Amino acid sequence: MKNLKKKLALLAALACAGTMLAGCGGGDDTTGGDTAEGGDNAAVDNGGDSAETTTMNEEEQAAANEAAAVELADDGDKLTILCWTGDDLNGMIDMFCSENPDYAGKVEWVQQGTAGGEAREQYKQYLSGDGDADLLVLEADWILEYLTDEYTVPLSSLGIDKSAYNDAYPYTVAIGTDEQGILRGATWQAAPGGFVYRTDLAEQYLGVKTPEEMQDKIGDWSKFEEAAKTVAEASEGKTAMTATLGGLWQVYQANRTQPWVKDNKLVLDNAEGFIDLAKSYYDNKYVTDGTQWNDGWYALGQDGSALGYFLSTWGVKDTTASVLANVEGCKDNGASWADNHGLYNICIGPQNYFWGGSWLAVSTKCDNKTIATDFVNFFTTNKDTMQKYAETSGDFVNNKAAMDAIVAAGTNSNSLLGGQDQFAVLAEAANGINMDGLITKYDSAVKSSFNTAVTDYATGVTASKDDALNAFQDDIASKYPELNWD
Amino acid sequence: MQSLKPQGRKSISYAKYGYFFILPFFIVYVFFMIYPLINTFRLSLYGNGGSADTMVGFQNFKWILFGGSRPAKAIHEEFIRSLGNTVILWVGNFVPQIILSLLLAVWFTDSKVKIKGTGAFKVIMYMPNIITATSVCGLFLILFGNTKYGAVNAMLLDMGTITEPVRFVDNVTSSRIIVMFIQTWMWFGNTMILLMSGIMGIDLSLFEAASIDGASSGQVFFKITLPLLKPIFLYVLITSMIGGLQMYDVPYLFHEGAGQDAIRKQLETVAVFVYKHFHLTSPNYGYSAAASVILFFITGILGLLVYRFNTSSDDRAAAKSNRKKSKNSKLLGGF
Amino acid sequence: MDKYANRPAGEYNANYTRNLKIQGALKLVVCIFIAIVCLLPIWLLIVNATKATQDIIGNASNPLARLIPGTNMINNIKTLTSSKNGNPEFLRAFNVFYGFRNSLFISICACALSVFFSGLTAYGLTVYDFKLKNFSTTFILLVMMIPMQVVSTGFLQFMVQIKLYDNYIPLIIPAIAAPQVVFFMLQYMRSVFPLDIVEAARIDGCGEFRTFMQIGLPILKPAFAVQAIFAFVANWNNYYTPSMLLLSGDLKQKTMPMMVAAVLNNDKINDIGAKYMAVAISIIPVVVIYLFLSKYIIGGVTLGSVKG
Repeated sequence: MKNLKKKLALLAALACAGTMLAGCGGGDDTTGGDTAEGGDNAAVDNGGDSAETTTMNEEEQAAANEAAAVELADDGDKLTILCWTGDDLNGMIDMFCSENPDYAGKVEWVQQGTAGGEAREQYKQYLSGDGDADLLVLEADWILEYLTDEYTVPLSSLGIDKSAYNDAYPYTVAIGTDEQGILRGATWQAAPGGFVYRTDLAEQYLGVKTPEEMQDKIGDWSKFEEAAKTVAEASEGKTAMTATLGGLWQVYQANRTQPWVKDNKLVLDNAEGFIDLAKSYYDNKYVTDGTQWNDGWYALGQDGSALGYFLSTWGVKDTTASVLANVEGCKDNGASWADNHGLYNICIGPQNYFWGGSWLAVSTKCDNKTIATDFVNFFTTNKDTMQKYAETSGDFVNNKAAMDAIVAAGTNSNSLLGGQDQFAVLAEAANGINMDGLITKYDSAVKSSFNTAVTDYATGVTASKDDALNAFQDDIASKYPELNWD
Repeated sequence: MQSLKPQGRKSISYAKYGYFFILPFFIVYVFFMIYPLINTFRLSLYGNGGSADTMVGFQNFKWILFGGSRPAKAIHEEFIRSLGNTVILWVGNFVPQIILSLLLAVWFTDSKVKIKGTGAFKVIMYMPNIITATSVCGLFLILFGNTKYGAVNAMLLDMGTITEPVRFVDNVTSSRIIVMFIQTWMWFGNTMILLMSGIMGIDLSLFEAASIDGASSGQVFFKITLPLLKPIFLYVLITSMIGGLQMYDVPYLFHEGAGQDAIRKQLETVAVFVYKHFHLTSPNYGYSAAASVILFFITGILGLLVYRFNTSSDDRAAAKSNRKKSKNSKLLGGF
Repeated sequence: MDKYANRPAGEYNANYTRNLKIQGALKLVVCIFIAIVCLLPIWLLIVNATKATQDIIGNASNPLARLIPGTNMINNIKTLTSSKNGNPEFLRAFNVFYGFRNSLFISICACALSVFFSGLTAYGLTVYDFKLKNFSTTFILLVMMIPMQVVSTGFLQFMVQIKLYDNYIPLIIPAIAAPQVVFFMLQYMRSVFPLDIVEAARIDGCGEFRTFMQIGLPILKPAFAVQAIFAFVANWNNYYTPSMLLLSGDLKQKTMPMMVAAVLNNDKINDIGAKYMAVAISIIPVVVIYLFLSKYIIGGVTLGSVKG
């Protein structure tokens, strides 16, 4: 932050000296003012070098975006995309090149790490060397770290401005916007989540036959708890409503009304409510003792220990490698399946939420402006190509019109969900996600740290709710000493 | 350490060879290690996270060592906890490890009581050490998984010993015991081989003489083996202590769930603390560097203490006269 | 056993021999037990590598079934290696040939440098008298204690600065300065090295470096053997430094532990049987090589007792 502020101040000062404009004292406010100290909050609008404004209307915002645009070279060899998900990129590049034969063989990816967390560190090392990189694939949890002048340039440098994303799901645009309100990242995929459940168990314990009936049973948190109680009692504790506390938290935290850090202070908002909920769910066996991404995670559904999972779009993709495919017992890379194949259905669940997703941003090293522009447009703004990509890859693309068209056509059928169209359910959920003003750069750390504290309390590692809250706050305090802790 | 030549006899003319011989080490060391080390000392005086560019003097040390406001208190408690964990985990793996290794090393080198298949045992016992910690940890996590899917839990449930799965990985005591076990399992063969090479370095004639004099194996062990093993023993102790203070991969990897926050608090050693703060989303270089500097001094002091303690009597006596020293070396060298 | 010392010779011998036999048998039982504990986890690893995911994490009807190999071995190997049936995620993260080639190259070079130069340094510090001798020894003792985690970041920044990343040089050359190995050699030389022999060589007109090569090295052989295994294993298993320095992400450049970690940490790889197969493939050849060389290693260690 300090570094960034210094740079901004320098920019402002240069602007002053160059144009001899009055009222540039605002530049100092950026560095010294109290509001700027709390400038980690996405709601604070400091638009580029027009630092004196505190709020901006859309026109000014657009102007700021325009002003921040950087001149990029266009003489590079190949478009190089930095990612940790080569598999996804392979499919994307294949499609991009087959639609644009001129670019065949001119797009490649470089994999850094195999998980988002690893990539976050390794990108910095890669970028500090002289390896080529035109586009970066970034994850929602740590995207803000890279949306700075040090690593990326505004999307306006490719001539793409915010208005191109009128059809995108608004929360994705909010996440791709940096702390100054400049759009630096765009995503090809939205990742709204739902509740996937085993239809046989749901019928046995809850008597539901269709996803609509299921949604009626678990449409809000109190209904969800009621249903969980029914399942636990009917199965004598053998089947829990949902798989993991981590998954539950992923959903529950979406009903926050305030950002995690506001005015440089940690805000608990609804967090305490979740501690109570988690403890009672765990004690009453509404949730299993399993952990996400652990080997036992998939088994929970296979042997009926859990009735359902909270999963988002990528988790229910109709492939042999998705989470749901594993839950259903895909064997030998798709050659054979356990009896659970197609036994699941999806509904929205108690709450709209999103989970995961990858964003594209333009590296400061970008030297292939034309291809980069075409690539970003192809996957994030062009409705036709995006719709085609969704149809071929099963990915939920970030374009309302495209998704609505697919849902309306009614052609999508997911074999993992017994032929149900997950897009129809999830498109509805995606419209209901609102992340405005809720994103901070602390989110990733805060979310996972809180999840750990709650799990420890629920499983009995920490003795009381106060201990759990203290452990959580201490953890954040040691990670972010710069926050205000009075 | 030992100088063979009586002082004043041609010793100066060979001194330059000493420098030649140690020069490659120092050139490489300065280039690849000293510069980064200086960097660490420098970083310990700078701020954390967002204020990494600000010089804060000794604030990191003050916070880590004495606490204060909430963030200071939090980091202080975290550091003290990790120091405690380090000591617990180190003692818990060093003591069984050294007892086991020493016992086996003596058994395997005993010329009187031959154990069948000694060669095979040595080979098998060293084997755990050649497997990467990542794999070992993954294996033990599957064995001791928290839920009913963990192999040990599944077995205990099948046998009816327990009705609810034991959370082996989360539980403070069980997780520490498992980590101590892994460390012992991985390293006792290594220590054993070191000790054996030490024992075999002892002049056989000493054992023979003792045997002719009718010494018991206990007497041989305490009067001959142990004293003469001192240099190697010292090496084992110091390296193990250093290894213990830097204990990192197993405690770091032994947890369920992904991400930094899943690391178990009861297993967070100082090295994990250092690594963790270095690799946070908003890295706390200051804390990491300060903790390393503290760790550096702690190990330095401990190392010197052990070294002094172990060598003082011998060396002081030896230092008194060069003649005695050369005699000493003759004895040790077995000539 | 003290009590036997005063008995008549015949009784003493008979009892003594019997006693030794009983001791030997007891010790053998203990050793067998320890050996089983040592091998069990490795056995489980191999067993899991032959099973399908469901059989590994599912509930076993008979707990002992977990100790018996499964039938999915060929499938697991195919998943890892076959370009037809393989899982693309695996193929992208794992290549046995490259992994072994790279790891072997780095480990052998680093191991050789580390042992040779440490021997040289320790020899220099033992045989010669010079002003900075005590300082150097204390220095090596002190720097042995620097926690790697922090130094490595400064190290990495420096390597990036001088453009040595994506290169095996910073993985191999620093092995020349291995304080722990030097310390071991110093300790070893203290206990076994006959300094007279150097003097004798000098009188015979042997050059200093030649003395080291022809007299010092052979005497240091046992220490070399021990440290060579340690150095090799340490380099073979080193995951931390290569993963920091080999930034390009090129599979052809990756070391074996990097590949294993990539497979184990990959969220998208859920085939646990194949994961274990990857780990097994990475360690079994090492185990085999180790078993072959162990004769020399143990021979080397024994050599120390004869020569010393």
